[in-house]
Amino acid sequence: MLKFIIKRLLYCTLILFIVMFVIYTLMASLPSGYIEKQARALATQPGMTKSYEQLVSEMEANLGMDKDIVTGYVTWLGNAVQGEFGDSWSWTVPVVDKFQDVIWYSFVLSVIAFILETAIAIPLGILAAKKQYGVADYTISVVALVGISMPTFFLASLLKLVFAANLNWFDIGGMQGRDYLTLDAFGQFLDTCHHMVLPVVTLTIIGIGGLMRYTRTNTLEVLNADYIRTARAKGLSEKRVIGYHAFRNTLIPIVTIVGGSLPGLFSGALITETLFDIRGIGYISYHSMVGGDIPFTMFYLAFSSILILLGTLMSDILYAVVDPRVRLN
Amino acid sequence: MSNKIQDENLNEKPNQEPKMALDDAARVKVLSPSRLVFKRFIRNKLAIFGTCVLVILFLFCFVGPIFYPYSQDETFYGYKYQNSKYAVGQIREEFINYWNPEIDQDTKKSLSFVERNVNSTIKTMLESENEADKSSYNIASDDGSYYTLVKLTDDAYALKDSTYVVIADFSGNAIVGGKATFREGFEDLGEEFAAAAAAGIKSGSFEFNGKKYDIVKDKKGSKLDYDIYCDIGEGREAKYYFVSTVNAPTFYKTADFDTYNKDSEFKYVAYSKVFTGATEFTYKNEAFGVRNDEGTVIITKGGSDFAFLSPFVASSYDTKTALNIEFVLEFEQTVMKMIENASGVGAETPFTAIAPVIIEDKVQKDENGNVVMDNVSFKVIREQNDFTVWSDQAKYLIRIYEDPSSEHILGTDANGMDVLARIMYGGRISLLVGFVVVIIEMFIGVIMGGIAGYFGGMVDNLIMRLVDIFYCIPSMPILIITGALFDSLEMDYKTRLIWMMAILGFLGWAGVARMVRGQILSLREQEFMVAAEASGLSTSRRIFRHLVPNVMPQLIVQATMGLGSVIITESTLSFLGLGVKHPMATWGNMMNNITQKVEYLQAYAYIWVPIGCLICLAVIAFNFVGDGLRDAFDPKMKR
Repeated sequence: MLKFIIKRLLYCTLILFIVMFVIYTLMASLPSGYIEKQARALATQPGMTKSYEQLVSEMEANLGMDKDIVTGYVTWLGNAVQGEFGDSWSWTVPVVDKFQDVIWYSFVLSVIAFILETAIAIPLGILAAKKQYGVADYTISVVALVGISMPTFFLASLLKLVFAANLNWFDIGGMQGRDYLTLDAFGQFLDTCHHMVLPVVTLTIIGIGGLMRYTRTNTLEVLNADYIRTARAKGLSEKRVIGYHAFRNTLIPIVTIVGGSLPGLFSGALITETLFDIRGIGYISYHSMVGGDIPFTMFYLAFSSILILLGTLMSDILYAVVDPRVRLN
Repeated sequence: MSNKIQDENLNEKPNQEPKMALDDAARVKVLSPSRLVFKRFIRNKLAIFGTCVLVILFLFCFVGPIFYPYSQDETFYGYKYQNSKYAVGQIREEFINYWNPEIDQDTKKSLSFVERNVNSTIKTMLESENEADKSSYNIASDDGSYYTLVKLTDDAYALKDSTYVVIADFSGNAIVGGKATFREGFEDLGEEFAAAAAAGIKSGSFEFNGKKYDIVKDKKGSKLDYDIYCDIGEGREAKYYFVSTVNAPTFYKTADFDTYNKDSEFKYVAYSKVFTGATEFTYKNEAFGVRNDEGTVIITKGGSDFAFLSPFVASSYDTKTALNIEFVLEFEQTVMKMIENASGVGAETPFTAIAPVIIEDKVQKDENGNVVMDNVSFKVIREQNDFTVWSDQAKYLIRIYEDPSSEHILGTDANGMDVLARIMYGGRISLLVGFVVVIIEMFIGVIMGGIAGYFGGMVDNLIMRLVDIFYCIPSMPILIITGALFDSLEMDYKTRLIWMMAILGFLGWAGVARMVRGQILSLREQEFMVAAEASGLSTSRRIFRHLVPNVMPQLIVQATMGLGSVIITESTLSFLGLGVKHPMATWGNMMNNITQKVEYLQAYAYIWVPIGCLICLAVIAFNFVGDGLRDAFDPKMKR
């Protein structure tokens, strides 16, 4: 087990290095990025004696972007391994500081949505499987499919329209109300929670469909298994068959997939945060990417690549942990 | 499920052919695999629903535009009433000049210095205590000569050439030597005159030969010069012009005032006649009358009002169209009322007057070329000392954000384009992007997966590592970055679309490759492949003729599901403004404007909500069909 984990970790690290190299190549070869924009703005300022080309090469030297791709990547990697990701260009603070500032908003947002998702999706998925081809099953299946098919931006806009614009229950975006500064600490907390409601609802609805379908499919598979027939044949009550024999087996794939999505809780919700102006990692990195902020973008991409790799690793390990029939190696 | 089909067939057959052996081949109606799949597919209600939705969507997006009269980038214009500036008015505070037509250009030029000082001189005259100064005042010109400003009435002044002229310069160092330079036109007054001048320097005047001369100090640079003036009696002929006062005349006009506007000669003639109290005059063989209407002097021509005199000046805002006298009179009265009521800056007063009908900045004319006049309502707004007249004018404008009408069923958008047409064309692009991307994914995926699965070993290892890498790349951030890059490159929208599709396809092939490889790995070991190998078929034939068709069902299912997710990705990108760009329409970028202004969220919900629903519907339909196909291909997998 330990050997497997170490082997996988090493392999993941290798993959990560390659992925980061690909991404670094892409970022470094982007023409007309942040530096060019800044240099163009500076060159047109009155009293500027340097030409645009001079400014560009000067800024590139200052920001460490004048190396060729391989050297640049090795330098970046060397710093990154030491936890040194440089200063963000568009937020003008060290990347890691900015990250530490905003990550918890994203995490809290994702965790709440995640808890709601699992709490709603798993029972409903099992219910749908139990009543296969029933009204409940069709309703749940259709709702799940609609959830899957709904683009995040459309759902977010719809929620904004109905609950923020028409009913005026929530603000249309942002994390703080107009009178935030006049509130006491508890009031500020409540105000922030109030602003998190719509994003959480969006994330939950978007995430619920897939999990519900997955649960239903796996429960159906389990319910068709021989040991369930045996349990029924033994004369066990339906409640015990489902709740004890079936449920535990259903949990195997579900724990795997849910566990695999745990690292993703840190990755932030790019679209949702951007649309609701929640200053989480998703929002910050969206604006970094659009603004051509290479240090922050590189950091965010490395971070999300690690999370993706961790997710797969975690689900593999959990699979073995939960299901004794599965052996690693 | 398949047992059930056979049961049905069993029930039917005996009625037609009762004698049938148990091993009779015709006893069981054998359906071809594809028919079997089809039969299973059409039993699935959701799949049928999905198919119907897709068919309708395709008809709507691909056939609809053929019958719909508008295209996606057609901008609609129309006449709209827009409140715009019509005229500007001002109460004139300064005197202006009308040149005597006999004055030539050179004289005018030489008089420009004096001209600039006329207004300040009049002010000095009005404030002067001296009665003589109130009626006439001398203005020195820059060439040393003098002019006299003579008051004619409170409202008019005339400038005359003074008889008091410079006859000699007496330079500073020449005083000692007694040398004077004489001006042109005066005979040499000789040494004696110079001596008399030198003697008179202190007192500022001297007499010589019975004539009185004045000496005026004129400092030029570092040395002192003296100018010697003399009243030469008869002088030169009087050149003069009129200057109007606060309450005095400027000239207004009828529709063809423009010609007179430039013609200050007419004004000069008319004013000189009005001033001298004449009731009629002729100008260039045309007869004009003058009458006084409650203090306003009106000049008539052929019995109708032609111009009036007032300190109030009005001109049309664009200076191209002429103002008619009826309008100007109304305008003046309104302004006077406003001044009486002490209306502040920004105060509005409406009035109506007969004025030319203006459409699209052009004065409308009837068949005979006469200007069409109508009662038009105006409003005057005070801006400091100016008064602007606003009126609703019909203008040819882009019809943006028009409400749904019979002409444009869903109205028009921010660029004045037909929303319904754009939805149709947008659907085309959205669906097309989906298909192209999925085809790219499938193409790369099948080749890579096929090679990996079939050959195994090193090749497999290499390709699967590549797949791992592509799995690990976060695709949404990459798409956002490239979208921002395309923005900064200001890429053409068509090139951009092609690039976007290529990138989407390139980022998505890994899943397909992994699936194909897995399928081929299991198929490779089956008997039919051993048979294929034994019969000596070529490798490519074995892969593409025997293996790939067996992977086809899963491929089709994955492609159908993939279509949905590509449509979602594309619309998300376009919604953020990083995908397909205007003027090309897609469902995503048509919703883009709600990100720009919060007000649009509510105001144009009737546009973006249906579009969003269309995206959902398309994706749901693809998912339903994909689900249905999977169940139909492999009933065991039924979920």
